Amino acid sequence: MTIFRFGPASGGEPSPIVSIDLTDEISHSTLSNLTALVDTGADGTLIPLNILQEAGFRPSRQRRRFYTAREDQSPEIVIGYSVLLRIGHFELHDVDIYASRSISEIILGRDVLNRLTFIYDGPQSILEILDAG
Amino acid sequence: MAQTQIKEKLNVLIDSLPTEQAELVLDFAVLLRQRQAQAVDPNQTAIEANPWETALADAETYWFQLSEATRSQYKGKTVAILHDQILDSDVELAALRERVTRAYPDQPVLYLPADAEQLPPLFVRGPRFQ
Repeated sequence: MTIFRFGPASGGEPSPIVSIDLTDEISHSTLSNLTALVDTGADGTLIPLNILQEAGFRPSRQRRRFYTAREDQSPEIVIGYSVLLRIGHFELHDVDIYASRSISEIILGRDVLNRLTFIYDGPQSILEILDAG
Repeated sequence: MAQTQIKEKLNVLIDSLPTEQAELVLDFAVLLRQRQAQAVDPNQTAIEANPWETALADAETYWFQLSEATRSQYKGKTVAILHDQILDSDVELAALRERVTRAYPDQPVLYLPADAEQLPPLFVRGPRFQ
């Protein structure tokens, strides 16, 4: 079991954030202690491009067309990376993450969340991860 | 007609419809958006591509230019593609990557599910942007 306390407020409400580590399955480069926003409204997991490039990650997966709810934002072609994702003491292999230049923070989407069992405890402002598959 | 006028008219229209029919209007709008998405140039690269990324994009283009019959031979597997060559395939990504990496170290190999569609959409409903 791993517990994460909610982070800074957005729109007056605390945000569920977690700390993750990433290891590129191709270059074996690693990034540690990254803060990611838990976002059930995101289909996939996204990370700012510069973070991956500076760490020497190598893409190996299919590109995708990234859309947001913003009407003024054109679709962006994002590049796929295959990574080992660690969250607490849980490890998820072969997670596809996507590098975007239009986001400013890491977004942990449903591709990862749907592999986790967790409790979103709003009143206590904690997110408790119970299991990973 | 301006976008705001269209929205107002749609609101009036939807208010006058039963829920089930209003959902049909929503479904149709989603379909239109998907069609618009498919009209985007698949070779568009919004990210400044380096040689590695360019090679991956080329490999992807090569795969989707193959005939349906050729691609369907790999159904259920992940294929490893380097430039315009299918190197190997396997149902297990990790096993495939291990073999390919051993045979072609430090090469821009694309690992692609054979059943994948080209540029599948990835929606994020409410992120914060730069």
